[in-house]
Amino acid sequence: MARIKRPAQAPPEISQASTADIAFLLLIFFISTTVFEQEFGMQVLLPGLGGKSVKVKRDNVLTVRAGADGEIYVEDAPTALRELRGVLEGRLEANENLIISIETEGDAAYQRMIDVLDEVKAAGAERFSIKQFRG
Amino acid sequence: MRFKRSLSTKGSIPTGSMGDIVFLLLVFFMATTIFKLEEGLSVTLPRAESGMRVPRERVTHVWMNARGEITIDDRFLMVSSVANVLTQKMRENPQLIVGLNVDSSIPYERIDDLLMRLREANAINVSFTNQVETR
Repeated sequence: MARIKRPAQAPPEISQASTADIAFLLLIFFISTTVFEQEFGMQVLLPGLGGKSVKVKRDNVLTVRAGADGEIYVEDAPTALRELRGVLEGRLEANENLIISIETEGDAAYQRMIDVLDEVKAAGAERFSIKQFRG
Repeated sequence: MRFKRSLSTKGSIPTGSMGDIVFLLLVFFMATTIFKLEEGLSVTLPRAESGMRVPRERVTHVWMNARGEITIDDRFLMVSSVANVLTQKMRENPQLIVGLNVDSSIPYERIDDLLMRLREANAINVSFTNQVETR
């Protein structure tokens, strides 16, 4: 009887040709889902509740009031928002110990207070306080 | 006497390391991808120029939409329980920054109330999240 010879078998192996393709697929997925989301905010440090209140001279405080009607008052003088920065810069230059007190009326929109805070920050003021205006 | 060129070079770019490069990029994008975990509320953030970039990994967001609803970590809260939640968070991470994502139309008295609750929780590092406006 004739012996049937088995055909020579190639050693088994896993095809690696598609590895790069798979990696590319994953890469494209991650590239397209990555969002470098940035957040911008105006940072302030609130006074703690236990802290001692500090007395400051009346002369060193400048009150800026944001009204519910959209008006802004610097020491009760109506001031336009676009003029505010110039006014503040002038006052800060005249008195380097100046503390700006931002007082917002309770009915005024949050945007009004942010508008004023924005100008205060832009004018370079480092010392300011924020509170609600109460009569 | 004529010299015969012995070398004939074939131009080819080696593609063997392609897979490695792709994997390198893949690992980079996998490592830098942050999947957004918090839904938040739908708010129109106030516009301001002077917002600074906030380190997101230190921020806990407090959301308040135009209807005055408040969420932290997608849980709806009464304003009275904000202090409790934040006290807990401050214990876990004393470096915490509280990002206030508040709708620009909210009356300021609500913000004042909220800031008072933050002070109760000793969460004094606050960022008023804003949209960046260029003038």
